[in-house]
Amino acid sequence: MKLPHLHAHLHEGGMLSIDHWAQHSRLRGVNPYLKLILALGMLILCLAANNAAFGLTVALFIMLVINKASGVPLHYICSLLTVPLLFIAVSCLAIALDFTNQPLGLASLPLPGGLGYLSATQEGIHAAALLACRAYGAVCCLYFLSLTIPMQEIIMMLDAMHLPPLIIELMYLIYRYIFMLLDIQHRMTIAASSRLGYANLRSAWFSFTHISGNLLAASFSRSSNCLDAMDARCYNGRLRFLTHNTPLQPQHVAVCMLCLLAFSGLAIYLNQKGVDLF
Amino acid sequence: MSYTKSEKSLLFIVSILAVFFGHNASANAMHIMEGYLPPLHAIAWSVISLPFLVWGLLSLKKITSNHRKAILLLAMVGAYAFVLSALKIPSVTGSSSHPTGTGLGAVLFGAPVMAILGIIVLLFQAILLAHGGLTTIGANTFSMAVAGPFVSMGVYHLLNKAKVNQPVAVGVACALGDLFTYVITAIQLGLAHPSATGGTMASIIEFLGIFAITQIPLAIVEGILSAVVFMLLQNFAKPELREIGIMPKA
Repeated sequence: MKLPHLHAHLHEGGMLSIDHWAQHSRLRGVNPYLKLILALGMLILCLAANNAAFGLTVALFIMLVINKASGVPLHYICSLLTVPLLFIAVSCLAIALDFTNQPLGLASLPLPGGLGYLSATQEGIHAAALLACRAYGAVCCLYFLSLTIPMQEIIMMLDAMHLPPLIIELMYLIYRYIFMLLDIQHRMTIAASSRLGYANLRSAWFSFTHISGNLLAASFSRSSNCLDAMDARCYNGRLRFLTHNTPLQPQHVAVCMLCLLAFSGLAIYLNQKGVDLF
Repeated sequence: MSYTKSEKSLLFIVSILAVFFGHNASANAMHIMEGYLPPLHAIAWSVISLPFLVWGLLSLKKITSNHRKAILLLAMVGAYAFVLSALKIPSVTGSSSHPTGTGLGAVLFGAPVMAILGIIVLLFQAILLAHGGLTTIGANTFSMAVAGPFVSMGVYHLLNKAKVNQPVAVGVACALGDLFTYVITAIQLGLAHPSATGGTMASIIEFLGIFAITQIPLAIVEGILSAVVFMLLQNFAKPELREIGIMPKA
C-alpha cells in the first residue's frame, strides 16, 4: 500500500487543505515528538492559565510561527480562524445570557407568557468573552499540531505509544480510504459538472445527492476489492510502513523548551498580578 | 428507461439525504470545540469514555478474528462518515460535521465498536477539518460515539422484541440516539459553564434551548435517513453483510 500523501488533488484550498500544508510544512525536518510536546504543552498552558490576555497572546504567537516558520500563508490561517466562529457564537450566547425571575444586569428581555427574563449580566458577558479568547488560543495550538505534523507521523507516534495494533491499522486504513473516497467523489463531481450537473440549484442538489448515495455503494465494493489486492500481496493482518526518522536536534529542543518556559512564566506572571483584559 | 427497485430506493435515499443536509448546515455546533472544557472536565470525560473504548476494542477483536473482511468494511464506513461530513453542500457555505450514521452503525455493528470507530473519526475531524478538538475529544467521544450509539442499540433491540417493523425500529432508534447525543452535549457544556445566577441546571436548559433549533429537526431527519439506508442495505448488500456476520437476522 502506498502512503496516502502522494495525491494529486491535494491542492491549496482543496478538500483537505490542512493535510496539504502539513505535508509541505517547512518544519517537516523537526522531530515530530518535539512538535507534539510543544503543541500539547501550549494547549495545556492555555487551558490552565484561564486568562483572556494569555489566550490571545498564544494565538498570535502560534499564528506567527505557523506563518513564518512553517510557511503557511497568512490568508489561509485567517480562513481557518473562521471555522470555529459558529460554535463560539452559539455557545457564548448561551453563557452570556441568563434566565432570571426579575430583570437583572445590563439588559433584559421579558419572555412571553410570564416565564421570566432573559438577562445579559456583566459576569455572563465576561465569562463568555474570556471563554472565546481562551478557546482561540487553544484552537491555534491545535492548528499548530495539524499544520506541521502530517497524519502518518501522528499515527506512527500513536503506534510508538503502544496503542493496540488493531486501532492503528484501522486509522491507517481510514486515512487511506478518505483519500480514495474523496478521489472517487472528485471524479464524479467533474463528470457531473461537465454534463451541466451544477448548472442550477436544482440540478446541483440532484448531482450532490446522487454522488453521496453512489459513494456508499462504491465504498462497499471498493472495500472488498481492497482485501483481494491486499491478500495478493500477502496481507497477514498487520500493515507495515517505512518510517523516516527525523533525529532530535539540540537547537530545536532549545527553542521548544524556551517557548514553553517563557509562556509558563507569562501565565504565572499574569495570574499573580491579576492582569487580564476584562 | 425504467429503474430497478434498488435504483429507485437509491433515488429515494438521496432525496432524503438532500433534506438531511439542508438542515444539517449548522450541525458543526455539535462538536465541543478545542479550549471549551476546563482541564478537569476534559480529563473526567475521557476517563468515563475509557471503559467503553476498551469494550469496543474487545468486541472489534472478536469481529475481525471471525471475519477478516470486517476490518476493511469498518474502515470504509469510518471513511465514508468522514467524507460525507466534509463535503461542501450546494447553496450552503458550511459543511455538516456530525459523524453521520453512528446510530445506524450501532444497529449493524453493535454500539461498542462504534466507540472505537467514532473516536478515530473524531480525531481525524479535529486534525484534518478543525471540527472539535484534542482536549475535548473525550467529551465528544462520550456524547457522539458512546451515549448516542448505546441508546440507539438499546431502543432497536427493545423495538425488535416488540416485533416492530425493522426499518421503523432502526429509524426511531437512530433519531432517539441523536437526540440523546444532543442532550449529553448540552449537559457537558452546562456542567463546564454553570450560569452565574441560576447555576448548572439553568445553564444546561439554556444550552438545550439554543441547540434545539438545529438538533431536533436534525434528529428526526437522521432517523428517516437511517431507516432508508437500512432498507437499501437490505436490498443490495445483504449477502455481503451476512457473510461477515453483521446483518441482523431478517
